[in-house]
Amino acid sequence: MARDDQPEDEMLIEYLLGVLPSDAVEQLDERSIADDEFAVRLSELENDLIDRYVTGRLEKDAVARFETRYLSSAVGRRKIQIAEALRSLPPAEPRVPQPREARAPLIFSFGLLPAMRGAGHIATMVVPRGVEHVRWTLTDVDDCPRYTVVVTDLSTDRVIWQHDDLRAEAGAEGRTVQVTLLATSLEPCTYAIELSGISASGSVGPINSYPVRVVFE
Amino acid sequence: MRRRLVGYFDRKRCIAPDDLADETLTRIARTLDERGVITDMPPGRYCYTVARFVFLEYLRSDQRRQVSVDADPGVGHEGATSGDETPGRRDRLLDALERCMAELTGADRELIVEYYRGARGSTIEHRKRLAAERGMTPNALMIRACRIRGRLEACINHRVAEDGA
Repeated sequence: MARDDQPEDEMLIEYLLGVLPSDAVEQLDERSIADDEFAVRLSELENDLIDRYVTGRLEKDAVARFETRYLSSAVGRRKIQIAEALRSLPPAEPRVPQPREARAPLIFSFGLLPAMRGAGHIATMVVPRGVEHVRWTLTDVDDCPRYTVVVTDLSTDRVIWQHDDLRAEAGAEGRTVQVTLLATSLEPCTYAIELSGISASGSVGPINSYPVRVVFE
Repeated sequence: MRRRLVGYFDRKRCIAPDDLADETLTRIARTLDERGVITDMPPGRYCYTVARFVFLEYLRSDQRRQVSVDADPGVGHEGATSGDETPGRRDRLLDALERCMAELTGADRELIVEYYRGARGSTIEHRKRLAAERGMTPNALMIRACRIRGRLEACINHRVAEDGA
């Protein structure tokens, strides 16, 4: 879409605050869903608006309108809480090289192949002691813009982890999808990792299942 | 797409934007199942058309407690004092944030932490420096941070809902 089709920031902020005249709203509603570039820009402006509010940098006359719009909505309040929480994150730790034998790796990576139809083989992953995170690298993932992954404990049929917006990474093994979760969220049992692809139009289709037996060292 | 739909229904001051977004996606999935492909309009526009139908149905339904923002801009759909500001909920949110941060790649985690660390008043300079350190334009850095934040928000909402269930 041509740049000169883009509305001014001020107009979008009025839209976000819910004070734009209704005749202008519908076109922006449609673009907020159907126009990728516009949707990203709207998210950026909204993040900036919320950040200015939580850091006390929002103009005085906009604060009341902001609070009317955002504090009256559960989604809005959650966005404010997340903005506050992001500012409370501790600084990234300086990268100090650790002697290899001093501690277990923080992330234990394990490559997984999809289950073959009718085959009974299940990969066994032995997790070293002291590992904080486990990363499964799923291979043979087709070519989708995004993926959804569901990890189910097969002994209880309980979903223990789910992510609806993962992307593939290109590497020596071709395209892979990486699933990283806390080691403490795993039990010594067998899990099914179900990978589905999300097409550009948003439709979801199953790709592969990756069974894995987890054992702790 | 789900995040965009939730934002749309939230801006319309619907009571349960998540449910309406899910209803929209369910209808789209059903159409895809029946027809295999949508050819009469671009996919994004089709999503909007379905969302608008869902919204209009919502306006007519019993779910509606307040009118939409278009019809009555001054009215909120929920009280500002619902119970999601309690210390317990805040702890759950911080816990969810920590777990969702752990799911990011190291580079994304470092970027998002540094992106929001800028001292008040010097944010622009701080982010320019961050972008330069990463060989990116400030705009590209902003888009990247926005995408990571969007993923974090979705992950946190999912975790909090899961913990509250």
